[in-house]
Amino acid sequence: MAARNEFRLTRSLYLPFALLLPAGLVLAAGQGRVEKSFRALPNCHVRISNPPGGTIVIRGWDKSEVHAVCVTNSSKVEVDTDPMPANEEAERLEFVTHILRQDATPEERTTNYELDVPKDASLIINNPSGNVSVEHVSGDDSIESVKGAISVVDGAGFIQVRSLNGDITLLRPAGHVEATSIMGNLIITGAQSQRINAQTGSGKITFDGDFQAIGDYILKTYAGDINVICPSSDSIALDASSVRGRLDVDTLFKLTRKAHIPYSAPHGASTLGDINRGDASVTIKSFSGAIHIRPRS
Amino acid sequence: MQKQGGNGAALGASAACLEFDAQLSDYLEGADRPAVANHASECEFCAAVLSDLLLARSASAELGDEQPAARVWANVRATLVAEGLIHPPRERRRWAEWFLRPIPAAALTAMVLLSVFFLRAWLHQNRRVIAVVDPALVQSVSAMETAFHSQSASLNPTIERAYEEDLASLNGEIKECNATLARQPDDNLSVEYLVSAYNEKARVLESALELGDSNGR
Amino acid sequence: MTSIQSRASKAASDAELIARAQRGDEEAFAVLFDAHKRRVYSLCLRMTGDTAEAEDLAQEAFLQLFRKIATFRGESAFSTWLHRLVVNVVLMHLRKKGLQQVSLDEPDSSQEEPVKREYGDDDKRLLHSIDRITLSRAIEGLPPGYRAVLVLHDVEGYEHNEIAQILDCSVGNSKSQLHKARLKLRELLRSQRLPASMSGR
Repeated sequence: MAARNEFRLTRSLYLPFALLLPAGLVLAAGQGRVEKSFRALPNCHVRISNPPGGTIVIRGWDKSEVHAVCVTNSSKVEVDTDPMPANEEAERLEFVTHILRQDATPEERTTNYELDVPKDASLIINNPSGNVSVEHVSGDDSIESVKGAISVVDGAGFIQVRSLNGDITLLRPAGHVEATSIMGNLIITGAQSQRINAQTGSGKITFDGDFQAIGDYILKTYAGDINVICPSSDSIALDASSVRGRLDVDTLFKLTRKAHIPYSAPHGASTLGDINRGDASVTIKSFSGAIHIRPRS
Repeated sequence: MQKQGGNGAALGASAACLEFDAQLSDYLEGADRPAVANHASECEFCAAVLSDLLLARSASAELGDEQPAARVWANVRATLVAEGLIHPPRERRRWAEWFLRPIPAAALTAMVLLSVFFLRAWLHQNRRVIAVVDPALVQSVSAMETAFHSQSASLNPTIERAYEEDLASLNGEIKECNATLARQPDDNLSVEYLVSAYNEKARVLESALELGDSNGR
Repeated sequence: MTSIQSRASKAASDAELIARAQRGDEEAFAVLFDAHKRRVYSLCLRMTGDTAEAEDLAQEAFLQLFRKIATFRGESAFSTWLHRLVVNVVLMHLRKKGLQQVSLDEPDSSQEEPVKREYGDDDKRLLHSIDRITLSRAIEGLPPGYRAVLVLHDVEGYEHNEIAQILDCSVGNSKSQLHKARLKLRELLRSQRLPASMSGR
């Protein structure tokens, strides 16, 4: 935020002060496409703040370089970037879209980003109204949107994703996952993570992966159904309950129920027990959604 | 061994530097090690090491403690109530007052007593429901919601609509959980969902207010 | 929580509070939480570097504490017991994240020359000042074992005998690991290439 304020100060006090203040770099202003590369450390931190919206696509690659393509729709928005340190391989890079004129329409404000980043980079992305797609980046990801869909493929770091209304799709996540939504669906496929906490309100959760032996998994919805597909050989300590919804655990899972009074409500269902040795802790809850646990065929 | 300045290549420490290294830990623990201070006054490299360590130590001590968000206690308390480990206070005094009230005419008294009985039972149920959510959290959420509605015009209309839908969805969850708890006060899962809905509402409103704030700048 | 704090002043001691908490007294739980929340949360935050994780872990630590409070018999100071629990919760969490641990009871062979020197001009330059963010980031960069001992001693102010109880190691081990942690922290601070003066930032 400091860099942004300094840049605005620069604009308002014109050129003489621009020479004195540490200046960010204006990447794109006006309608058009700008492409730029920055030398970067392999584990650099990349932050994109795009309040006006647009799509953001990020791919990991083997170079120690961030290659950015920014496309603005009008001269009423501008993209600043601030590599730190400025004259060496960047440890941090920030891309911020500024609205220069408040009379800009949503269409005029739209700004799209396409970045290639070092594959070990960490990302912080805020794109309230646009979609975000991240592929093959193994650093930590923190991605937030209000209505955009978020997709992360082959993420290996700590993945924190939140889209209030958009769907979240995680393909082959390997690190710690925290995924939340209010109305969006959560689709987690090919998971190898040891820790997943996925929660949504009215959306559904689909989990198709393996539960790792020392893993800790929470899948929770309010009204949406939860569908879990995993090998019947997975070793799971299962705690599943729903206040109003159905609970189906396929009979191919050898579930040894615990000697414990499960959660009970007049219209609810619950089960507590071990499948195989009960190594992974798996908690699945819904208020009114149905819960289905099926073996992968 | 003789030190040489240069391009930063490691050339090996002198015997005095090695002695400095060996005694440095004890010196920092407060032990009497005059060799450390003496050597630091002669060797600018070791002096830099000592100065850096002392600076880092004092900066660490000044880091200070951070305050957790209110929701941490709210969640802890709700879980402890749900597990029966703590017992919110009951309003026994009001039941005693009911018994001690003077009785006028029989029929009217019966109606009044029955009304009071059902009213207090309803209040008792709902007070317990509300009590599982930290009142401070409920108040904060209410204040944030008021602030959101007063400044939502600063948001992009489609974003504003998205937030309104989310809040409506969460308010629906809160209403449904409260209704369930009114019928089944010991439903732990509904308590969990109720607390979770309030916390989620706080997060959504925080995000909306922050976004509105940044758009307004 | 000011009304809780004013009521806390009437309570005789931690011992009385614990006894009341063991009987399920909500106010006692609230006072205990209020008294220890900042230290517990700060410990979690310094160890993980992430606010959301720290909140989850602080919550988990307090829940474990309150569930086990019936078993507390006063063999150690309550805060020592609590902080041991917190550190265990955090270390278990980091272990599950798959982070490498440096066991405090094994000699650390990763550093053969504890004090790294490169006799160039850069190495003479001092760190003139360290801002909170830089320091916090550097602490987060320490391996978990070093981080634990440094946070407990230099940040939270525990003595080595207390750290030995919390981390289940010897006092000697705590001292040697602290020294290595400080040296590693220095390396990390210097590698962030601080300019000569950062005063005012």
